[in-house]
Amino acid sequence: LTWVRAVFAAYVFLIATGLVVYIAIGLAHN
Amino acid sequence: VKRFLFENSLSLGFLGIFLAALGGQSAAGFHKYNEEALEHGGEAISYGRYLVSSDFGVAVLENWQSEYLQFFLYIFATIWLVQKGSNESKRLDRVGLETDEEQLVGEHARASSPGWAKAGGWRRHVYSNSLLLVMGSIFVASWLGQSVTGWTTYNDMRRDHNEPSVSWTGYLGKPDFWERSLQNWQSEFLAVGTMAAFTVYLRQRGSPESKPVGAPHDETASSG
Repeated sequence: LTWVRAVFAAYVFLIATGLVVYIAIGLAHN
Repeated sequence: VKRFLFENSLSLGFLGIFLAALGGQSAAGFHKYNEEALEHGGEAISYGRYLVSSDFGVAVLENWQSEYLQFFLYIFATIWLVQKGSNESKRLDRVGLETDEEQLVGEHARASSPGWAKAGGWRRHVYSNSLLLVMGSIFVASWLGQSVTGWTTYNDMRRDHNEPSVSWTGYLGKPDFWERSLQNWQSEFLAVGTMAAFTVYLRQRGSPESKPVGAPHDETASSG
């Protein structure tokens, strides 16, 4: 189950990073 | 390692093709961006600069938001809406939130049930809706991301044409924002509706997304 948790965490990390980065970029360049 | 790869092959396989497709999108988008910049007498940018551009951001996020909206609506709708004969639907006599016994919560929880399913009060309430809450939050955040990156690219275009820029709320009323949103939504809704209807009559041997090959057409909610 620990490894399943790592896969879950990888998805959460990717999505959260993508969202934060591009919301910041969209706001910063305007 | 071999066991880890096998036990997680569905999540890892899709993670892999996601990264490959995103890489391909960024490469193609980068070349398209520079092609258009040079055609309009502008300057080419580096690949690194393109990766942190609103142009790439809006192209990624407009697709993300529609996928998460699709899953959010599907999870929500299938609580109450059914399709006789489809394995995408639950049984017709189970419409609604179902009983605590059927859902294994509170006093009906098993020893192996998650802690918040055994708990009462707000914990059980939150955990009972956690999938919808998270999918809905990702939809809202990515739609917000689409709106701000789309707003930036829209104003860049207006600047190129010597037109005044618009506010964020102004952009939310522009056809550019709604075309980006709705062109993605329509395809998601069509695909989901198709799955609900097609799985009544069509089969894929071995896939849990299909009924067993020999299952009758009027059998609902079976998976094989």
